[in-house]
Amino acid sequence: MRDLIIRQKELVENPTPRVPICLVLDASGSMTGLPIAELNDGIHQFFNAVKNDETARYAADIAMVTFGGVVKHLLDFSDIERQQVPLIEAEGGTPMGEAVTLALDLLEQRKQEFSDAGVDYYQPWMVLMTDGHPTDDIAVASARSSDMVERRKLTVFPIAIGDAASMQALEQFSPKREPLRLKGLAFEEFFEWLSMSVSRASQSTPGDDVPLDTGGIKGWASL
Amino acid sequence: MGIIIGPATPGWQMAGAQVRGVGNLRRSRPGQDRIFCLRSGKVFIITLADGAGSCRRSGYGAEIATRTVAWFVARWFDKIYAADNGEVPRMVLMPVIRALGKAIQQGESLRDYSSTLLLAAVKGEEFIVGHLGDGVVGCLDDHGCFVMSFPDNVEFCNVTYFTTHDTAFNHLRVIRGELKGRKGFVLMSDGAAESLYERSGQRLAPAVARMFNWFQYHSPRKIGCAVEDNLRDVLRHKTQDDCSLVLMRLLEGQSKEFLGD
Repeated sequence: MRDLIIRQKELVENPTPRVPICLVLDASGSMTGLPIAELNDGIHQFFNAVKNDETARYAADIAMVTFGGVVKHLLDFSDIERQQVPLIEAEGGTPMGEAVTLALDLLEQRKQEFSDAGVDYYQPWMVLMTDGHPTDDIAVASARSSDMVERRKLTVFPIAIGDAASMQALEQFSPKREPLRLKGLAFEEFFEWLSMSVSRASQSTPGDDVPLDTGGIKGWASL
Repeated sequence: MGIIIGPATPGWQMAGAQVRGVGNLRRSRPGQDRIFCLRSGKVFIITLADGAGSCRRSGYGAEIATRTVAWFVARWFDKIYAADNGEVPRMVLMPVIRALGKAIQQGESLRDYSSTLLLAAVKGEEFIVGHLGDGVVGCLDDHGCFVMSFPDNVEFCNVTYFTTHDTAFNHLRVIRGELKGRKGFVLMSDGAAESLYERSGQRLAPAVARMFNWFQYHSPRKIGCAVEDNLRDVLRHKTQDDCSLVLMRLLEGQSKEFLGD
């Protein structure tokens, strides 16, 4: 009986729930040369991988903050199709605390925008990558980040680039997840793994554990 | 998958269905949504539970929850209706938690049986609605369909409250009152709500009113089949999640002649 068939026009179209992700990237002078080139390539790879994933492309909501001399809000949250991946240039010191503060502010603002617009969202992610030691005070920013992690309001991925990166500083931002050291300059492998993780997280339903692909971590991290 | 059939008589009629979601199909996992309809004496009740994603026995937990709460509310409707606001959540949830506790086998925990819980019950001119977790409770009155209880997702869309949470008593919403023109209730899981509940406008899709209207022309058996077909063929493809929906509708006087069966 045709009157018992529901038509598409009688249904509602809700926006895809989003995973807000802020990449907080070290662009200090020590990243000059191959590291910054590999980081730029890795970020391109990340955006391409997300765009090519049928689930992640509609869920990922990415912003980018860099800290190299000054803190820059290099890319604002938006649909990935509309985003132009910016080129990161390395220079200056490592104001990590200020960068994390900005990232957390941006994530809060984004969540508010989603709430106002009736868009559902998942727990936000902050990916923090550095090859050195912070040159500013990180106490306030790390306490704020840690508090959010403890209250299950934030997931932090702390990633060290090279042997000179301060694991101790990264640890302060992430009380639950230990920092991992990138294997060489395996940015591409890391960002490919990250895009797959976005896809997994965006398919989770209430009560789901969202385990990380620990096998995949071996491809980019020195364990 | 399943169809529940209500009594094919004038008065309150009930129908609904549940289907396994695309995510569970892909992983060859059983569905975790359950619905239940019950008429016991003068009480009509529909219930729905959505089992928690990774919890291995949550489908069974949802089944226990829907059946236990239905029989309990049917038996103690008057007592629940008259109880103080603060007492009702514990009254309604404790039998469910006890029943889940009895089902636990070696190596399992209560958490393995977690689910949301939604219910709507009517006796005479009085109703009780209960809602824990996500999903939506809708209502039909002379002005149309509206949301009676909204999804409770804490903050993130993959987080909600379940029967087994320590704080579940604090989060079970209970609405009681006289019908006063209310003539239909609908319960839907978050999977079905993805297509039937507009989050930005906080309103129900036109399809909900049409499903209520089906009761005027078709038997509950036929409506149960139609709900199942639509969940499986239409709504399921807009979500990864299981989809379930159950309705109850008051037909005043003699309903229009059924169109086949």
